[in-house]
Amino acid sequence: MKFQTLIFTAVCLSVAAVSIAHEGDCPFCKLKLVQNTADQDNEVVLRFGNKKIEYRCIFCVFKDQKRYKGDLVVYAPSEKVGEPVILKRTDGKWTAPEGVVFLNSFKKHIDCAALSRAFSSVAAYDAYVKKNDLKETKAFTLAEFVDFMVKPAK
Amino acid sequence: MLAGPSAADCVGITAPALRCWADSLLFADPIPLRTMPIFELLPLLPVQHHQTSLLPPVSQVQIDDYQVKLRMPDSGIYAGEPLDLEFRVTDTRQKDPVENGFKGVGGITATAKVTMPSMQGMPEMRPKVHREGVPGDYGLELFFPHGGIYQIDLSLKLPGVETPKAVTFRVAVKDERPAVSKVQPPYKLRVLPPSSPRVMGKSTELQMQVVNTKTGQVEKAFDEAHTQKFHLLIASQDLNWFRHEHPVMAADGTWKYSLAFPAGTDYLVFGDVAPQGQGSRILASRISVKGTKPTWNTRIALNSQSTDNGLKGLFSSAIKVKSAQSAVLQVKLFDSKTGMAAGDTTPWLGAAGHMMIFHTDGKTVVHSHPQEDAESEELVRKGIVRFSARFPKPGTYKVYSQFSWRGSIRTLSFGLKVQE
Repeated sequence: MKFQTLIFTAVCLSVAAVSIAHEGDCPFCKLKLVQNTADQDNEVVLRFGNKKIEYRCIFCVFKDQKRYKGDLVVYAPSEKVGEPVILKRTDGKWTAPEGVVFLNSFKKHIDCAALSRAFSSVAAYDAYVKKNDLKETKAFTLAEFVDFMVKPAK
Repeated sequence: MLAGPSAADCVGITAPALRCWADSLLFADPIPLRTMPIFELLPLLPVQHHQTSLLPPVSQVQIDDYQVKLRMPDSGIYAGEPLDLEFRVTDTRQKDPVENGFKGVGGITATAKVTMPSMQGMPEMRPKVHREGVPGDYGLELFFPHGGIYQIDLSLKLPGVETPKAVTFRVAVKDERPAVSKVQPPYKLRVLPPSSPRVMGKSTELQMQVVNTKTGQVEKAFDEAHTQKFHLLIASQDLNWFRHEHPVMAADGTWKYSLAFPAGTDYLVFGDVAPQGQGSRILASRISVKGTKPTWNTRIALNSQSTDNGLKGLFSSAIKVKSAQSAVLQVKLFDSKTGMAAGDTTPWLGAAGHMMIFHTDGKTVVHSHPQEDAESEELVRKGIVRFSARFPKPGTYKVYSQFSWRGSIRTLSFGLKVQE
């Protein structure tokens, strides 16, 4: 059957804005999610059952974790594109692959996506700190990072 | 009626699979579709036929050890709505440590191209592809301007794999739905206010800009569709006065065209454009012209005959036209003086004819061209020009068809009622 060339468009003259899904806001800090770039992943994904929720940074995930009753998996952007660090909360206990360390050094929350991140190794962490000329930072272990997150704010 | 395969039976996007799917649409035996004249074939279409309401026969492709799967929304895909359509690439040799199924392949660099196989003249869309946060998940940023069957071609550069993998999907896009959610289209047509009020009979310069609604910036780069970058369609509010022109763009992205309006009334202004890499779309605006009211009949006549400067056209369709259905519309051309078939039309703007169809809502527009193949050309030589169109909603439509005949453009107008 031969269909002939067709151009059809229906247009609405009166409309209001919505944004497409991957450009939403962080459910914790309400700031815009930071999109992945060609050479760096930024989107943090929390998996809760069948649901996937995107966060702006791992700080936001850990601060917001209490709302989820049950086990969690977090895809935390790492130094490798397409290879996030996988963090798991099972029966309330967090685990991470061996060697994983964390950076958490932002002063203003707007910088959290760049300065609250996970790394597969200390070497990768050091390379990131050097590349971004970061000062006064520390490589947190998972235990230190979790401890820091649950501490009440001063 | 003979029972044929169901759409679910048809797997893949190979020629046999597509043929199988076409057969499933017809609920008929695998008739030799390509050799059967369309006007004999169409009556086989079942009354409830809804071509675009079917999901594509396949949204999953296997290439070597990799599987690529489109995540189609449960409710289907609708035209006129920005869409982040996800797809997942997995390596079938490994299980994923978190997700169900095979291991997601992260770090792919992908490009995409979207076309409509039934619209040869439509510029291709080149949507952005982004990585999602879960390895193996990717998103396509799409906007389908109208319903129909679209082809999505992906080129996937997998980490550690030298040659990019090519994947092709076909998706069925439904016609635009009523404004259940108010969606901002990616572009709008801005008609700049005139320096003095527009008055009938007096030449006025229309200045128009295609504005990216997300950035607010004026678009300056366009792809050509049928030899032009901007098809300006203007119709009086009652649809009984019409022009099809081609404005010129200034360096700042403002399209300009001067004309004199024949009466004091509102006019619908449509820009049929293809912002670079984004595909064709028709953008609408509206202007007012001062002066005495139209002297022409402002009711739409449901006529099937029309003559312009010696060229007579008879308008028909093979079956009763219904909304949300494709229909083949035919214009049979004659020399009105001799009564002989007018088989001597010549291509204009890269097509044997142009058909613009306006719903009385002033928002819904169809711009159709005949198929560009030997069979259609043969028909044109007999004075028969056939167009395909989809009518997304019932109601009254005004139809303008244009042909180049013996040195000038002839415009024939018809009326059409489309039922639910």
